[in-house]
Amino acid sequence: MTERPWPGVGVLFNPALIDFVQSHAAALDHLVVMPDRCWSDPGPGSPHRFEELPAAVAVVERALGQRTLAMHCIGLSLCSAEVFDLPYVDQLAAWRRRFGCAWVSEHLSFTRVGAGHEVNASMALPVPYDHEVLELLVPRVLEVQDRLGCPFLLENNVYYIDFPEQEMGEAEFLNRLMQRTGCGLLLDLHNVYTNAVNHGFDARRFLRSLDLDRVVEIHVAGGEPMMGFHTDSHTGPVAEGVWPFLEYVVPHTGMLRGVTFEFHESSWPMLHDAGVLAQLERARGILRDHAARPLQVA
Amino acid sequence: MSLRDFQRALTSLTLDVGFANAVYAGGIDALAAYELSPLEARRLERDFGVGLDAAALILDLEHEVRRLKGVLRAQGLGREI
Repeated sequence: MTERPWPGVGVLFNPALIDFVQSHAAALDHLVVMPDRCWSDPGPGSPHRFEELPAAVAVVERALGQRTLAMHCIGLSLCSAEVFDLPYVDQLAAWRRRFGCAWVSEHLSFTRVGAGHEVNASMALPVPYDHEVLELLVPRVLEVQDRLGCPFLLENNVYYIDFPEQEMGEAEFLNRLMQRTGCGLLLDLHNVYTNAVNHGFDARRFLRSLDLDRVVEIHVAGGEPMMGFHTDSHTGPVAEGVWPFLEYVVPHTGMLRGVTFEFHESSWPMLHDAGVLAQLERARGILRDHAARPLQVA
Repeated sequence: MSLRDFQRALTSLTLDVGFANAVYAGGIDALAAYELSPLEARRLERDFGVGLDAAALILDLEHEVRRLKGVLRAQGLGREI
């Protein structure tokens, strides 16, 4: 048993960070990679699924042994009514074993429709928070967890449209799903911030209604105003309004492993090393001042 | 079947501006090709023709703005944007 100063801080890897993760290794406790950007996948039925992209895989391999690795997926489309892609899950499980990933996360949304002839919307579409969707998800999440063999997290959504007459609110839906499956929560605070701005609800009230004890990872990011909306564009530094949410949430978490800064690679010229380091240091300071307790990990 | 068709219709609304406009203009009749419960139809026909159209446009613009900002800032023009 070793002691580590959990929770820590990290980044969601993008191609602009290739040099950064090497030159600032000490600044990162964990690195989150999007496996879908490390392979090509023509989809179910193709004999050429998950063909690895050598340059991307090399980055993951270089990070091995230096810090904790985790995976953040965008391709499972867990909420698709007619798609449950078990070969994709098995590919994740193989990568989890190969790279020793500490946790794997996905979005509570769907991108893929159509059996046989799939259509990919290329964006995370929301699902209504109804019992029908909950019953669809519970066995799937259990199956994914079983195959992965590590904590599996689902991320709260950002949504620009809101379905009327839903049977549950987002927090109740997430809480029920976590209670029934034991899965963890990837709490994206910029998603909460964006939804609160666009739909006019009290973000702190939403956060209070979540089972924060199941938060394993927190995402922080920035966005921009556009067409009367605040967008989850991941541009630049963390939105100033997100930091107070982090201060508020951290003391209420019991199994938090890390806070992850995510930005789009096109923002690198405005951030550079100093900008990314500043976000990490600010997050680390909040963890230092507000974390309820350090965790011991094997 | 119903959830499946709801998701198919939602995807079409998001990707196909013409279909989104038809749903906005014609309501439930434009969704006749899908097997939807009355609640699902209400969820889609409301003002989502316009709402989804705007959401899809926002997502497209997000990508484009990020791309352009990256190009311009790389050329030292970022501060003027």
